Amino acid sequence: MRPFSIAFAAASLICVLAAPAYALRPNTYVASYGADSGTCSYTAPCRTFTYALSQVQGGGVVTAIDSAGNSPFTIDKSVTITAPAGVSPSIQTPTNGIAITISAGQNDVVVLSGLTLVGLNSADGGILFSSGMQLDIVNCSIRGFISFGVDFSPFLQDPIPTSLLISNTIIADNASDGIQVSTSSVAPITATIDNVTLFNNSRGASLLALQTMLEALIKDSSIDNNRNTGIFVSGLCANVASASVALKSISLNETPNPIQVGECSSVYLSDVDQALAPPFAYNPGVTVSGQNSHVFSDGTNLTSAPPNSFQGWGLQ
Amino acid sequence: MKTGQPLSKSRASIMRPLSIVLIAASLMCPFAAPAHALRPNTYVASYGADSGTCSYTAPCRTFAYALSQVQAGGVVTAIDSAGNSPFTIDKAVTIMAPAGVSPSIQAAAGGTAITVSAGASDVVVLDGLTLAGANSAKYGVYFTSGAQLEVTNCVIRDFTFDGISVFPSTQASVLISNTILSNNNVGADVASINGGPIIAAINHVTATNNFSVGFNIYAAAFPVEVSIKDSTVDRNNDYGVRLNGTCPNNIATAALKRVSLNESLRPVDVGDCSHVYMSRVVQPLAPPLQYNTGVIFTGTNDTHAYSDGTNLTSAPPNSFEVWGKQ
Repeated sequence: MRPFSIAFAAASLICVLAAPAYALRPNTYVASYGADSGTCSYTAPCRTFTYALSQVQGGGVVTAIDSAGNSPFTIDKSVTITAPAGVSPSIQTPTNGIAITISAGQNDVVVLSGLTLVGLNSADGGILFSSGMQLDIVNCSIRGFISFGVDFSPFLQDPIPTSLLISNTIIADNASDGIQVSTSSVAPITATIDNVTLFNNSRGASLLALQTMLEALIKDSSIDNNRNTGIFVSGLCANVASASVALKSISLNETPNPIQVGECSSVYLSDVDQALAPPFAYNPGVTVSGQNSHVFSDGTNLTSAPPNSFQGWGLQ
Repeated sequence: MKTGQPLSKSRASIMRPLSIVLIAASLMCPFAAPAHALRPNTYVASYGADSGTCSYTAPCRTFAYALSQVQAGGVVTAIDSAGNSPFTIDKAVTIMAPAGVSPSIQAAAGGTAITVSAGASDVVVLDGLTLAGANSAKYGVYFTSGAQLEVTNCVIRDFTFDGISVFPSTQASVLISNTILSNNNVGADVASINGGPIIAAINHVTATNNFSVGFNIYAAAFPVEVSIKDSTVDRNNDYGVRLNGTCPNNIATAALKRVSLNESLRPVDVGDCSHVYMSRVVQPLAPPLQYNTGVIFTGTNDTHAYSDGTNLTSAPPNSFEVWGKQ
């Protein structure tokens, strides 16, 4: 309910505090009983991730000690934010806000582990990656955002490759994309999505090559009951930007449009299942709508689409 | 232990009127309108008290009270593993216990641990809970209305009717993942009694030692479609997966992928207007136990089982051979 501007003002105040006279620590901590002063040691933890981030070294680790709720924050350096098993700090995001924004340097690696992000069906997004070299999201749960669960669309000046890993994570009940990955600048992207549940989003994942190439692998994942589309893949031929996506051992059940492919895309399918049943209005298989796109299958993909059978699908 | 229970128990539960549950839900409403603003996160703990706003530093004791203090779409988190009382959910919410914390919901004899009676667009998430029925409570999770029910990382045992009952009066979508449903009469019972069609995605679930059925899928008044993958459906006494539709339009559909159906009397039972799709389904059997092989067609109308030729059984003559009708 707090206006977002206050949050920004608070954040900028903290930036002033972010240049302490003492050395930054390799590990800092947050807890319900902490206070935003000092160096955020384990014995004198801080309260917010924002402050604890200001006290940690580049490449260091910020650890949550308990499950107390926390405020949205922005990451501008290499860091790991982690909540170990048994601790689940919920990041409370205001209306139209973003829970975690990553605006880091072009060589920075950011790891988010064990976090619970809840959008209350009013916040915009869970994790927004606008710059940096690498983002790893593991053991997280991201739900109830009106725009996206994860948006990995870095805008970088140099064509240095960036990479995204999402594993052991559930991304559900978001009103738009569960995951959106797009090359919005000259930096190519490689993305690995492993053991992820994308459930009841409007669209499970959008994988878009807009300015340069994008390559993605989705494996051992459940992409079920998404309300419109399971996976949308597209390149942009006019920019010579191609999208290449491999899918291995995933399900795309109960989704009206399991896989939609736009232009300048290559999609590879193996052990991809799609259970459908009338009278639900589903489209079987892959829908290709753009030019210069190809879908490859090894013959191990199954659909239950009529005419009744459990048959191979995917174009060879 | 439960050998005296009739097979028709799950059907009897279907016939139970929902009105009692609805009355119980409406009784809770007076608590749901506090003078202060509701919080996005509320907490319960062994040392909490049911007053105030259930912040982390001043948690409440019961999920029922913490639910009255949380915003729609918010999260109620258990801080420790202290036991808790049964509760009813009437709005969009996540009830969660992080790994390492396991609050057991103690249901009364004949009662229900968690009743979900939410609005037609509400999403309800249950994460990390332990529901123990003590072989006397009837239902673990009883879902009567809501858009979406998600049960993850839960253990639901020893209920005399159903581990999870999905009998919505609304169109509904269900996710059950990383969950154990054991020693109930029925592991999960998904039935379109009224309201609308149901779609359910079940993955990484262990449904074992249920007395009657592992997964009971009943398209009573609307179609029901269930996908079960990467799951263990073993040693359910009577049925592993049981399908029944209502001809001609209300089809019960199940797609099974990488599922084991070991040591059940009837691994897959296909009733009227029921379709099952199977890939990499395995069913080891061994004499002298009297098991049936493969799919059993109980229904006489519109029954189908489809296989891609990757399903295996060890039934006699001894071999590991392909089963399932093409």
